[in-house]
Parts: sequence; C-alpha cells; structure tokens
Amino acid sequence: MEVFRFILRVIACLVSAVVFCALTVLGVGWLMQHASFKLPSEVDTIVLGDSRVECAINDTILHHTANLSMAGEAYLYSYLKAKTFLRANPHVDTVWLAYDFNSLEEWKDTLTRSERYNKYKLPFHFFMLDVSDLHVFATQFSFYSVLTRTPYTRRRYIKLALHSPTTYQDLGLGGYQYLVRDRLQADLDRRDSLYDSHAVRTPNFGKSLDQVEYLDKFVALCKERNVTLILLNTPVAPVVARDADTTAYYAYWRNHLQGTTLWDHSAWVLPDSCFGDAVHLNHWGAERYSERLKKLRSLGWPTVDRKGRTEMERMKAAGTLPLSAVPNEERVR
Amino acid sequence: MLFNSIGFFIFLPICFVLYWAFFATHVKPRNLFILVISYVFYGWWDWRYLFLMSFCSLVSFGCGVWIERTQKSSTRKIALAVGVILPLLVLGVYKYYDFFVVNFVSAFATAGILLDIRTLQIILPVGISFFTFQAVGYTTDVYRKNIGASRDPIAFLAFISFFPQLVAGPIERASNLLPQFATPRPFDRASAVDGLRQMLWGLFKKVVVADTCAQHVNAIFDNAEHMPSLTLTWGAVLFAFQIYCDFSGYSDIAIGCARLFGFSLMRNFAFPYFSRDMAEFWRRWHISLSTWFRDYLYVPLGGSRGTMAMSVRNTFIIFIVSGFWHGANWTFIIWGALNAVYFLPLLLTGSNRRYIGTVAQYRWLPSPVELLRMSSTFLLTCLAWIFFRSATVGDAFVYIHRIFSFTKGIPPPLIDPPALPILMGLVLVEWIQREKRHGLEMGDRIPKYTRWLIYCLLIFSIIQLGTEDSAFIYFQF
Repeated sequence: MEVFRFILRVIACLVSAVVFCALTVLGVGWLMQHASFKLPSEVDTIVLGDSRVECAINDTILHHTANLSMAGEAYLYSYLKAKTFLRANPHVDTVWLAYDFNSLEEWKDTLTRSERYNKYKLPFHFFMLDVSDLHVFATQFSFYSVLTRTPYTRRRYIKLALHSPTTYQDLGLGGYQYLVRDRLQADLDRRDSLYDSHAVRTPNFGKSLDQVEYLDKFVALCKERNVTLILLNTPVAPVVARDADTTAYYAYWRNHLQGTTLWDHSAWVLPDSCFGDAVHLNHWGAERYSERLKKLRSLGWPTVDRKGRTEMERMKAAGTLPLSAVPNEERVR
Repeated sequence: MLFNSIGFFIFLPICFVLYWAFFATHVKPRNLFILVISYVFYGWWDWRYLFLMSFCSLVSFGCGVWIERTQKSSTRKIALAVGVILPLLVLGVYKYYDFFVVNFVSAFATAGILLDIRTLQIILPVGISFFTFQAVGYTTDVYRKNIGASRDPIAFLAFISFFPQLVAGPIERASNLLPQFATPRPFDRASAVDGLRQMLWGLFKKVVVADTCAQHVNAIFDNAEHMPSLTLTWGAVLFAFQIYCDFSGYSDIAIGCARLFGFSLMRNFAFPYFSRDMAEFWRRWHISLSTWFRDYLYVPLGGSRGTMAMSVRNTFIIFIVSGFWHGANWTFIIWGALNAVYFLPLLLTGSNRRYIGTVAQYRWLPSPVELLRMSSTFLLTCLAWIFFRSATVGDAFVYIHRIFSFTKGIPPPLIDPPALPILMGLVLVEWIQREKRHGLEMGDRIPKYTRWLIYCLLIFSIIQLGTEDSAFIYFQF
C-alpha cells in the first residue's frame, strides 16, 4: 500500500513537471503568435522556399517582395508561413514558391522527418502548426524533445517579447541570405566525379510524401485566398539539370499543378562568379538575378526564353531587330 | 543502458513496479529478479560480455567457497591467488594488453630491435574495472575472514552484477552489500523518496553541468595550441567540474536507484572540492576506490606502519596504480604520480589527517584561511586533471606550458549555454548542502509545494539543457 502511495506521488510529481513544461512551451508559442506579421504596404509578393531562393532573391532590390525563405525549408513550413502571412497581409496577391529539380524527391522527407531538421526548424515554426499538421510529427520523438526545449532555444526572443512588441523579423522566420561563397568549381568537380562513378542518386521526383502533400495544400491555399502562385526554379549550373530527372519534373508540374505558373530560370545564363556552388547564387548572383527580375517586372513580366531573354533581346542578339524598335540612344552608340 | 537515456526511464519504472509487486517479499525470487534485470541492463550494451562477467563472478564465488572449506593455509593461499589473479587477468587482457605490447615494442624499437607483436584491438567491456575489483575484494575479505563465503550463487551473481553500481561504481564491499541480498528488504518510503531526490540531483549534475562543461572543455582542449593562457586555465577548471559532476552524478543516480530497491550503497563523493588539503580531497573523492586501494593494496604493502621510506613508497604505489586503474595510458600514470607528490608533504609532516570534519561547520562562510586552502587544493587538482584529460603526455605539457607562458591566442569559443552561471549555481547549492549526503537532501521542514517547485525546476532545466544519451566518462574505465 505504501509503495502504491509512493508511486502515485511520483506520478503526480512527474505530471506537475510535465504540466509545468507544457505551460512554458504554450507560453512561448503564445508570445510568438503575438508578434506582428504585417509586411510593408509596398510588398505585394512573398517569397518562400529553401536556401536556393533564400540566396537568390534580394528583397532590398526587389522592393515589392518579402523574402521569407529559410535554408532546408520543407513545403510544410512554407505552407505554415504562407497561411500566417496571407492572413495578416490581405494586400499580398502573389507568392513565389521554390520549385526546383529536387523539391519533390523522396529524400526531401528528411526535412520533416529527421531530428536534425526538426531541431533546426520546429523552434521557429511550431506555433503556426495546426492540429491537422500534427500527423507528420506525432510519431517522432524528436518533435516532443525539440518542442519541450523551445523555452530555452527561443530565450532571446522571449526576453525581447517580454520587453517590447515584436515583429516577424524578430522571430527569425527567414529572409534573404547574403551568401559570400565561391565554391562552384569544387562543387562541379564533386558532381562530375559522382557522375563518372555512376553514384548519382536515382531521381524519383514526386515520391516525397510530405512535400507532395504540403505542395498540394499550398496550391489549395493560394486558390482559396485568390493569390497568384508562381513556382520558381532559380538559376543553377547546367550540370544540375544533367543530374536530375527533368522529364519527371516538368511532367509533374503539367499533370499535378494546374493553375500555377512555373518560372523555370534554371537555364538562365549567369557568369560563374555569380554562383556560390552549383545550386546557390552568391550575393553577386543574387544582385544580378534580382535586378533582372526587377527589370522584367518594370516591363510587365514579358515572356522570356530559357536563357531569360525577352523577345526583343533575342532578336537584338540575332541582329534581326528592326531599326525602328531600337531606342535612339542605342542607335547613336 | 545509460542512466541518462530514454531506455532507462522506461526500464526503471517497469523493474520497480514488478519488484515491489511480486518479488520483494521473498529473498530468493527477489535476488533472481535482480540478477535478471541486472543482466538485461548490462546486456543492453553488449550481451556477449555477460559471459565475461559471469565468469569473473563464478570464479570468485567458487574461490570463496574453496577458501572457507579448507583449513590448510597453503591451499587457502592458492584459492586466494586464483580468486585474485583470474579476475585481474581478465582485466589485464582486456584493458592493459595493448598498452603493454605497444610500450614493449617501442622500447625494443629504440634499441634497434623490431618486434612484431600484434595488439588485440578489442572493445573494453563497460565497467570491467568495477566488477573485477568488487570480485577481488570479496575473495580477499573471505580469505581474511572478514566475511563468510556466500553459499547462494544467485545472491552472489546479483551482488557482482547489481545494476545500479555495475558499470561505474561505487565499488561495493561484500561486507556491506552481500548481507543485504540475504535479508528481506521492506519498502522504506522515506529512503525511496530521498533516493529519488538523489537520482534527480545526480541527473542534473550529469546532464546540465557536466555535459555543458564538456562542450566548452572539448572546444578548448582540442584547440589548446591556439588558445590564450586564461582560456586554458578556464578549460582546466571546467574539466575539474565536468569530471566531478559526471562521475559523482553517476554515483548519485546509482545510490538513489539502489535505495528505490531497498539497498544501501556506500557513499562515493563527499563534496571533494571543498577540501582544505589533498589528503582531505582523497578522503572525499571516489571514496569507494580510495578505500579499496587502502584496504587491499596499501595495508598489505605495510601501509604507514614501517619506516617513512616505506610509507612514501606505498603512497606512490597506490597513487600510481590508482592512476593506471583509470586507463592504459601514461597520462593516467602521471596523474596518479602527481597526486602522490601533492600528498607527500602531508605524509612527511604527519598532517594528512588534519581535516576530518566538514569545512566551516556551523558557519555560513569559510574563514579567509579556509578559503585560501580550498582554492589552492582545487587549483592543484585542476593542474593534475590536465594530464587526465589530455590525449598524450606531450599534449598535457604543451597545455601547461601555454598556461604558464601567458600567451595570447584566438578568443575563446562562444558556446551556448555559458558554463559560469551554471557552475556558480552548483557551487552555491553544494556549499549550502555540504554537511548532507547529497545536494538535494532536504527534510520535511521545507513546505511540500516548495519541494515540488524545486523538483519541477530541476526537471525543467534537465529537459531544457540536456543532451540525450551522452555517455558517462567513467564508463571507459
């Protein structure tokens, strides 16, 4: 009987400790939810996705955009952010979402189903999760362990939030990454050696469960909110297309993502100095790419070819542009 | 299975409930149950080494019976020799064979003779130094007639393999633990509650303090050649706390865990960093090993009964052997020898038993002299710990050289969480509790809700700062 009473006491004590921990986690979530997600009024486009977009879109050049991407971001987190930001910013009418040659490959599920990424992502996004999103994490121990540690991992934010109103920027949800990297050649060599030794992964585009589910949810969300969804494939080195199953990539977009626009800029020609590695633009590349997008926007988003040239630029390059179409100042030169 | 793993937190409650529900009342089934769960606990790591542990246990059991049955002195000595040498041989092969081979080959190589002796490269069985010493201690005690030989093999196997103290001590004496396997152990709620508190405190020391210090220590020791003197000094201080909290944390969990099952284990640490000289430090640090060496090595060698030269020799022997016990590396041997050097002045002046009681008894603060003594003792231990932590003797000398050359270097690594506030909290709590058995021992004078708040805060800090499944340092010994 005494043992039984002892066990009950221990359970009661453990339950108190669990409740104590749960309350602190909920408190942190509450503080994070009460940050301001308001974007500047001139912003009509939010940019979401992983490190490729994070490093490619310089939103200080493209003033109408807010780059909220984060390295290693799964579509689940992009979806959560889109939901939150679209709710808080009805003036946003466009979303650019990363959609690259690997986005839906099977291994991408590690972004939502591995301790490494859960540790890195959940402390920033857990407060946006809905009950319907929990099925992804429910069976993962790391989800609970990461969640219970958020009072510590987010302590700087808590300190800030207890003293003054906070914004989404304080939450560290992502943003343009000024990449100072020059490892293109090393990455190309690595890819070539893998290619020569036939060690390149078998592409399996569309096999990722969570990515596919949340991309579909993303498309549905944009439809529901009447927001234009543009899938963005940023410029990469040509070998990236060689190593990917591009046929499946385009087929997936055609067959499953009707109603979305695909901006496939993967073949845009940029100098080697613009690449941090084969798939990431460094800050030079981001500047050129963003300037280019800015110009295209000023032209009303004309259709461009695979190299990123407008009809006029293509004709000009081929020397078939009628003289009347050439501006005066260029004629003088 | 690690004490700080999720597996253990599932294993322990299941064992506890089954034990008190079905097995506690009758001695034989209880001992069998303890044996089974202890073997599961050990076999979780590598079941093949269960045979090794069983072998050592059965050798000691058999030798104990043999010693007791025979009256002839020479036969008793042979039985003792078998009971001591066989477990030590196992220890020697698994732990020291490679060390001796490497040193033997390199010694011959310096003389121009190249030998081709292969090392074994085998994994060191966890806790081998602990269960072999426990077995050897038992055989010696039976020989000395301090205890009677055990006639119950199940009880004896359970005594050697008792899971709380199996892999990192305390190294229990048969005279203390073995009789507990022969009597029914009724549930003592007060003891169990205090045992849980001790476990919680041990877990806090391991997970919060030791593992936090470990991150800083690794960063500093791994880049010692680039670090400034001040950072290196800080690194040595942090390692002193890391090893203390790691090992005493394990001991606290082990003792607390045993108390949940109604067993009482010996104390292993008594706030050693509040010692006023090295003799007091060694009476408070790893008590079960120090007293083991005292009883089974120092005393047979003559202890301090002979001439001063013999006492000095014996002191050096036990410190060096104690160092070597920790690992097959010259760093541990030098660590042991350095501690012997520290101890020597106290031995020569006959002042090695000057400080027996607790420092600053009935006072809040130590006197300036006490503070100075404690600080100097602590700094001496820190200096010795550098050898203990370094990979090679050369690394240790480079480290010490850089400390005393007051060099500048790259700034210390910024690691989260910072260690200083955690250490300050630890020292404060241990200072307040220095006359108690552990840092969380508290009477009923403290209101229930305050106690529960303390438990919640400790659990909360363990969850927040803890890293899962980081092994205890002493597992490697």
